[in-house]
Amino acid sequence: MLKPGALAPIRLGLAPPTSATSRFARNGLRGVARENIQRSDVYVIRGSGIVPER
Amino acid sequence: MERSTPTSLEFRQTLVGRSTSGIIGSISGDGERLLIMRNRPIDPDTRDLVIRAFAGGAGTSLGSVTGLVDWDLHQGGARLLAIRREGDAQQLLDIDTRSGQSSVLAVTTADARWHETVRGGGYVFLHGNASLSVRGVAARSATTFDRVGRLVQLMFLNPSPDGQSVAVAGWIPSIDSIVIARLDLRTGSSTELFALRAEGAGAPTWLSSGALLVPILESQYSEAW
Repeated sequence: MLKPGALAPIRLGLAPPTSATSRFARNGLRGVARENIQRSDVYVIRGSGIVPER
Repeated sequence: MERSTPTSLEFRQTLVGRSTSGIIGSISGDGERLLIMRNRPIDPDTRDLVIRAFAGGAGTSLGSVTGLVDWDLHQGGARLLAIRREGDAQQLLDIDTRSGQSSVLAVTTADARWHETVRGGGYVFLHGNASLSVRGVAARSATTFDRVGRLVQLMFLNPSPDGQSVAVAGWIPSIDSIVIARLDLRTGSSTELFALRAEGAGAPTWLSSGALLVPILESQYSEAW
C-alpha cells in the first residue's frame, strides 16, 4: 500500500523566469520592469514510493 | 532599475513589490516618480494605486480604481491620466497625484485600450486591434487611422518628443514579425523602422535624444541542465 508522505521530495532546481516587460524614462537611464515569474520546480522522490505492507 | 548609460544592459535593481494577483509599475517621463498598481486578490478588477519617488520612500496612496484600462503619468508625474471602464463607455480621468483628487475629462468609446499624452497637448488612443486616433494635438486635427501601414495588430505607442509623430509597436502576420513603425501625424504616412521575429514588444520609449528604446519579448524556451 502507498503511504503518502513516507518519502520526502528533494528540490533539484528552478527554471528561468518566463517574461518581463519594461518601461523607461525619456533619459533611458531609469526604468521599471515587471517580471511574470512562473517557475517549474523539479523534485525527485527517492525509492519507489511504495512501502511494503507488513 | 537604473543604469549609467542608455546602452548599458547592467541595471541596479530594487524590488518594488511582489504580488500573486498582479502588480505593475509605470515611470514618469522625467524618471523621478513611480506609479505602482496592485490588483486586489479578492477583486482583481480593482487596483490600489501608490505613487512614490524613484529614489524610494513610502509614497502616497491615490486610492483605488475599478475597471482600469490604461494610465499615463505626465507633467513629471504631477498628474495621472487614466482610462477606466464605466458602463458601456470609458472615462478619461485626470488624477492629481499630490492630492489624489480626480475629475472626468472625457468619455471615450468603449474600445479604447491604450493612450498616451502628447507633449504640447492632446492624446493618442489605440482602439480595437489596429486603429489609432488622435485628439487635441497641434500637428493634426482629430483623426482616426483605421490602419497604420501594414500593421495588423497594434500593441503599444509612444509620441515623439516634438509631438509630430507616434512610434507604434505592432505585428505583421505576413512576415510573422514584430514591427516598430513611425506614423507622421502631419502627413498621415507611416514608415517601418525595423522588424524582428519575436514573440511580442513592450511599450517603446522615444528618448529625448531622438532614439527609440523598445523592449522585445523573445519567444519562450526551455532549458535542461
